[in-house]
Amino acid sequence: MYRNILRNLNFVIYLFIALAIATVQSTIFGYFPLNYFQPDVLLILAVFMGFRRDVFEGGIYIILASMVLEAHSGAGKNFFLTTYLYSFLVAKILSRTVVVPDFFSSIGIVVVLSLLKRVGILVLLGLQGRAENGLSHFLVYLVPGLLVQATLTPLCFNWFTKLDLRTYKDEHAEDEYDINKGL
Amino acid sequence: MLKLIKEYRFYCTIALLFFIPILSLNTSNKAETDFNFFDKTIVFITAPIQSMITLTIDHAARFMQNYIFLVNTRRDFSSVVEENRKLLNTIHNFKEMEVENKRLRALLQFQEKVEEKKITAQVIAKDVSSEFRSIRINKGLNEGIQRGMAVVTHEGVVGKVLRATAEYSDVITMLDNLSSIDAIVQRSRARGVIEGATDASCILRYALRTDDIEVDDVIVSSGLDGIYPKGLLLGKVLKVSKKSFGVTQDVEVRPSVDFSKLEEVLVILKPDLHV
Repeated sequence: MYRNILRNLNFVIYLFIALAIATVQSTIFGYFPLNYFQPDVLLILAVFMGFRRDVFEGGIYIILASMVLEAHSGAGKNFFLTTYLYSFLVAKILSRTVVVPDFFSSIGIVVVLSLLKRVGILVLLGLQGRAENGLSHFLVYLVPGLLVQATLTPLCFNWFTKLDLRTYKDEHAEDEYDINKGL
Repeated sequence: MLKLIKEYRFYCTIALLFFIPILSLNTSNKAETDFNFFDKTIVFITAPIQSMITLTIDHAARFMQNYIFLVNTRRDFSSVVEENRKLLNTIHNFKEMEVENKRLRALLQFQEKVEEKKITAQVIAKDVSSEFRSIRINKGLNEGIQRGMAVVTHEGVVGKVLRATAEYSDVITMLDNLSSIDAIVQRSRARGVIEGATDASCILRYALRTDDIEVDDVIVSSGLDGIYPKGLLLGKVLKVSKKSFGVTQDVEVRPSVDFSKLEEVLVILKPDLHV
């Protein structure tokens, strides 16, 4: 019973994590020089969901989390929804086909998707004839951004895995907690 | 049929999720969207926390700057810089008024007196993504703020209100890639459109190749976009480059507002096109 409640609460907890991500990214990381190292935690979360969640549950979560972030940004309507949902789908399809979902592949996928997201923004600007405006920003923020994503991915995956274990969402949780009685 | 759907549930869901963004993505209506119920709920939850975090950081930063590091020097320097900015802005305004007065006297021989209604607001958060450059302020519909209103400081133009809830508003700054402000060069009256580029610079587009634009020229709003009053300071020309072909020139502009230190702004409640 207790485990079932925790398992069901897992989704809600992740929604609060999305709220926390939006709050922290829009405040603390708005200050110089932290703005150069602003992480994109939801992108990491999208890949994590792609690896660990059912396509339906993960999809619903990413849609809601994207809407949370969109309420904190001046980005075009549904821009984040598109970015993160496609990131989730890419991770999901890759995990089902060619990629073994582990820490190293997660870093690779997050970095590539992060790069694609930035290029995507340039393409969107290009469609409006403004790619030139965003080019220097793209170049300045590219390396620090990718480094932050690569560093943060294993840490975030670790935290999210622990959270899944504690809320009995992870399929290994039952065994692990049975062995370590008292947790 | 049901069995078939169950069997291919994964692929059906993938296909469904694939088409959702295609059907819903719209980058062109950025300035026209309002907060929906979900957004309002989210903002209601997070905005007070954002406000608290920002205030804490600001106070901590001020404490560090004013008391731990150079106590007197820092304060004196800040006040001199602040005073200098205000004086520069006043000079620019006088210049703008002088040019305008000359032109109007020559043409119509009348003067215009304008009063604007403004409201002060504090910046409580910045954009969640470094690719976009909007800010959130702690005043909203309750104080009379509406979508499309101009946001300024004593240094010049900040941007315009993108959307608003009862107590908070999002402002799209002039630095944002999708921001456009109709502008004129104060000295030569050359026209163009200021577009956001990076965190510290903008681009003056559509200025004709034959237009007289030099480094350090002051750029002001033209008032033609119907959002920003005429004559508001936008920035200074940083770099001018003319290619060997084409009808326009590339002009890089440094905004007059220091966006990295933006704490308070003024929202012009009733935009008047003639300052």
